[in-house]
Formats: sequence, structure tokens, C-alpha cells
Amino acid sequence: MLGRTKKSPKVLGIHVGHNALTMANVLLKDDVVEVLELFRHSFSREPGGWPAEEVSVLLRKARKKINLKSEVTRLTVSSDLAPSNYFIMPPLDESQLDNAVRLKLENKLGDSAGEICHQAVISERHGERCRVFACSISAQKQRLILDSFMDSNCPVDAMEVEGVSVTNLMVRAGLDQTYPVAVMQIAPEWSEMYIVARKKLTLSRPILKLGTSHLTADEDEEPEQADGPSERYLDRIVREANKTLDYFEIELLSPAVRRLFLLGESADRSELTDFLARRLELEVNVLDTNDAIEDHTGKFEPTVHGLAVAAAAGGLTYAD
Amino acid sequence: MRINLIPPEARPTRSSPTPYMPLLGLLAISVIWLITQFATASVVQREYEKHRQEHIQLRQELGEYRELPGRLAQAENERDSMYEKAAAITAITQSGVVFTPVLKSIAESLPENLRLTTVSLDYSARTGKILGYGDEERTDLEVASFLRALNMDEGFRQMLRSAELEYCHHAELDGYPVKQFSIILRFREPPLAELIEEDFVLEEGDDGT
Repeated sequence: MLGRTKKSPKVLGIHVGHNALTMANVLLKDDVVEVLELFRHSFSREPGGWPAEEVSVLLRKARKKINLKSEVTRLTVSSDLAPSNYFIMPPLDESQLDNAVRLKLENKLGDSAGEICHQAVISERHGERCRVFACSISAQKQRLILDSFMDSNCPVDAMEVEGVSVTNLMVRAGLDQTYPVAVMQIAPEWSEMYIVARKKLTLSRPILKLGTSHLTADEDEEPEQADGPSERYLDRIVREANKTLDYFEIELLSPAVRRLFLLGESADRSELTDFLARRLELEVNVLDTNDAIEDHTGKFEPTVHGLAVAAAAGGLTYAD
Repeated sequence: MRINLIPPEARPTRSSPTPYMPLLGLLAISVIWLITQFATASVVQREYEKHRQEHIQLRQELGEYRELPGRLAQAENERDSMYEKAAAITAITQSGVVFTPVLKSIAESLPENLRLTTVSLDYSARTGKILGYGDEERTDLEVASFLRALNMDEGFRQMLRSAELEYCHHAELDGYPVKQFSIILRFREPPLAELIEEDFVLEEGDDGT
């Protein structure tokens, strides 16, 4: 038979976080992920904003350190760029899902929903009702982001949100359990909590540091401490996390979350782990992929580069 | 969990290598065919060069064979000539006659002012002739001196009996006045014949006739 059979494609995964751009070139051998190249660079942007010029400069810099021409390029963006939506709906066929979500988004967002790109999956079924997870992004912002990568000759084949990448990372690392687990990504300006159950993203909730968004401006917010998140910011994170866990357990009638995994640059701080375990009354661990991901760079840190690698690896091929 | 926010129409189209595979296959086949043709052409070229060299060599040999009859005829002519010379030499050697002393005597006896044009010796006819010329004033005396010298010469006399003047008269040579002369040479008879002749002469002399 003519043609090449690619059994081990090289995939470039890009994670656009709140304050950093992370890239990982990985080799996919069956279900084994081998990390070949890593790149990470900080950049500043407003929540929801896309600094095209700064990203272009950053990509030119990245090109010198990492191969941007892979067979497949997958991008994962934080929820401020592509917000996540959850809808309760009656049982739907997959063919009906898209139109139903479109109607929901139009009801929620009004006229601007016509310019929204979205995709949805059913995350939970409860009797006669199902819970749908749908991420969305405005067509204009999507073009802006994709053009930035296209200008650097790095066309993006797929775009997802961090929550999906977190779920895939948990599944690949074997950390998904029969009971729901929570993952918290803590960044200096923005944190987000995810709940993963039965290999699917069930809930995600962004937690903004007060004073960092024009929506929640608070000029009295104390300055960031040099050794990590401030106490007031941590109090806010704990408060919002408890609300999220209560909502998940009570409103969604779901089993209790027993474990919390930490993700992000600040995740491996021992005092943070102890603080959250004490305040949330959960078993808190720093996310570790163990041997699930083979690192050939010697620089791979699951909490820092994990989402870029997860974006590249994508979801496993099991029937879910 | 798989999800893609990029709509199908906005996804980049990457060129697959598969459509080019038939072209690459065709190209590979073409390259193999060309290599095969080149190898075949090389072999044919080598064979052609080999046969061309053989052809040139055969033509050269043919030319040499065609020259053989001429060379054979020439060789036969040379052979005949050699046979004739050999026969002449054989005849001369068998006759026992050697002219060298005669010619030596003629050369040593010839005065300076006389020039010889012909010296012929016919042993079978037992005569010879010397033709020559000289200037008008001294030729008479010098021819007489030449005759006397010949007749007195020992080597001359061993083979020749006498040298006699046939004529010495005026003539022109290339517009210049000269005197030409002719001398008759007479060989001695074989010893027995000469003895008989001498006896006869003696007898005639004795008789007073």
C-alpha cells in the first residue's frame, strides 16, 4: 500500500496560561508520551486580553529554542480567553447537542453568541437530565490567537481549554479515581479549580485575585509577597474552593471530593499544601505524573509543563 | 476527553505526503529505468568499441593481405634478379676470368690529360675496346704513350695480348674541339691455343714468310 503510516507522530502542545507561554514537543508512541523539547517564557497580559505583538516577539524567540513545525499542533488556553459553560439539559443525542448548546449560549450571551465558536460534551447524566460542559471563544479572539501562531509559521490544528487538558493529564497520570478528585491551578493573579469525575471534566471555576481584574477592582488589595501568594489571596482561594465543593456535592448531588491536586508554579510549596489540607479538610498533593510521561529533556516539571504536554498528548483513545 | 474549538473550516490544511507517493514511486521507477538504460547503454557502448577496434584491426590485416601479391611479385623479381646476378657471378667465377688487374693497369697507365668514356671487355669475343678523348694538341702523343704503357704493363699482359690504336681523329664534344680515340684490346688465347699460335708464328717466321 502506498503512503506513510505514522505510528509515532510528533505533536507540539502549547499552553497559553495567565502569565506564561509553555510549549512541549512530544512523541506519541501508542499511549506513551515522550517529552522531547520544552520551552517556557513569562509574558504579561490582561485577563481575557491577547497581546498579539508581545506574543509574536515571544514566538520568534521560541523558534530558536524549540521546533515549531510539528505534524500536529494543539493549543490549550486558560478560561479567561475561552470561558467554560455548564448547562443542565434533558437527555440529548450527540447530533442534537450542538444546536441545544447554541440556543443556550444565545440565551446567555445575547446577540454576540453568533460570533462564538463553541464545542460541548456531556459530562454527567442524572436520570432524566444531563449536565453539559461547553467551552466557547469569540470568533474574533480566536482569529487573533490563531493568526499570532500562523504568523510564526506555526498553524494550530486544535484548541481546547485548560480544564480539558487538566482532565487528560489526570487520566494519563492515572490520578483519576472512581470518586471525584479536584485539581487547583494556583497562579499569582488567577487561580482555577477543576473537578474531574469518571474521566470527564465535571466542573471548573476561576478564582480571580481581587484587584487584578477590572471586574473585581480592589485598590486596597495588599501587595504580592515575594515568597508566594498572599494570605488574603489564599483566604479567598479557600473560600471559593469551599463554595465550589459544596455546590458540587449538594447542588449536583455528587459524591464528595476526597483529594485535591495542586498545579502551577507555586504548587510545590509545602506550606501551601499543608495550608490547603488543613483549611479544606482534604488530602492535598502536588500533581505528579510519575512514570506516565517519559522526559528526555531533564527539565520536565508536571506542575509547570504538564498542561502543554497534556495538550499535545490529547485524550486517550478509550471509549468514553 | 477530546474537544476542539477551532471549526473545521478554520483548521489548517497540511499537505499529506500520501498524494505525492505515486509521483515519488513513478520518479523512483523512472530513476531505476534510467539507471538500467544507462547500464545497458554502457555495456552496448563497450561492446561497440570492442568490435570497432576488431574491425579496424581486421581492415588493417586485409590491407596487408591485399598488398601481398604486389610484394610477392616484387620479391619474385628481386629473386630473379638475384638469380641472374648469381648466374653471372657463377659464370664469371667458373670462367676463371678476373678483370680487376686489367682495369687496374688501365687506370694506372692512363695519362692525366686523357678522359675515358668507355671500357668494354668481351671475353667470349676475346676483344675489348677503350674509347676516350683529349685536347687537340697533346692527345696524339699521350695516346701513343698510353698504348706503350699498356703493352709494357705486367698485369695487362697477363690477360691481354695487345692494345692497338683503331683511330685518333678530330671531333667535337659539347661544341668544343677535341680528339677522340679508340683502342682495340685483344685477349690472349687459352694457353694451349696460344702456344699453337705462337708455334705457328714461329714456324712462319722461321720460314721467312
